Amino acid sequence: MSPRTPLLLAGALLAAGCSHAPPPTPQAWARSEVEAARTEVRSIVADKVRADRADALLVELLEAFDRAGARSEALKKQVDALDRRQDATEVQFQAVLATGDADRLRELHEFAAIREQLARLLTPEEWRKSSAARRKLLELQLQPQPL
Amino acid sequence: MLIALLIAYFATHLDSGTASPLLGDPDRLESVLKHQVKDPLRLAQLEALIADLKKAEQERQQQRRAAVKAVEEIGARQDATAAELEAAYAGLLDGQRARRDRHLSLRLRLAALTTPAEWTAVVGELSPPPPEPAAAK
Repeated sequence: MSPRTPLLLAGALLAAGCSHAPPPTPQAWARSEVEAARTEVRSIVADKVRADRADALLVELLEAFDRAGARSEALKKQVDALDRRQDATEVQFQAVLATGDADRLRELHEFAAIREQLARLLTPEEWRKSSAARRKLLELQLQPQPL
Repeated sequence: MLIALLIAYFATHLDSGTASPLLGDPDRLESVLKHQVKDPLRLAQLEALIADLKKAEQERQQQRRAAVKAVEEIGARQDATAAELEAAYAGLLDGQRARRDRHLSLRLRLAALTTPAEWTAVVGELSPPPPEPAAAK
């Protein structure tokens, strides 16, 4: 986990009123948020067929997050190993990081496609109801981050 | 939509994990360097590097806020396409890559300014221990 992650996540935990709990990993946090979204969709979308489809898309997203998290962990281990070597060169670092950049673009493409399908599935009214939940995430996003 | 920001948040954290862990806390790094590097001239150069990083990071925070707001605005629109959202994320990712490249540059300069013994000591204080090798069967 990045050194800055605990601080940001600590803010989330404080906001949630559980400041004594250890901060979750980003993957665990994302998993809990997607699970919350699954519950939210079931309460907002009355049509069972569409609700099932939306739920299936959220599960797809969850699986995509898990795959991305595993790739990120593997990449971090490679960077950590290079970091321990004083003679590690920029070329060596960039070669490892380039792999991560390519992964990230593919992952975002996958995430955005799932999100687009979800948006098409909901009615404007359902979409409006679901928008309230995003305020909490926006506040987290806009918090200053340590290095 | 919740999902749009969740994706952006998650992507931010995925990328943050690839920055040099040595640079996660510049105050702590500065403290460790002061402890390990006894040569005042090199220590002054190292402290100047860290001061530059802190200043650049403050500017980056402002850019990041703008990039996150762009994602939020597009994510709120039900008719936003995947391509629009990816373009908005690109702003976030560009900022993350710029930050990472700056970290890498600093990390390489830090390594060049320290002796092998100092580097080993600094890494030892700031990094988590390496994974244990698998036991021989």
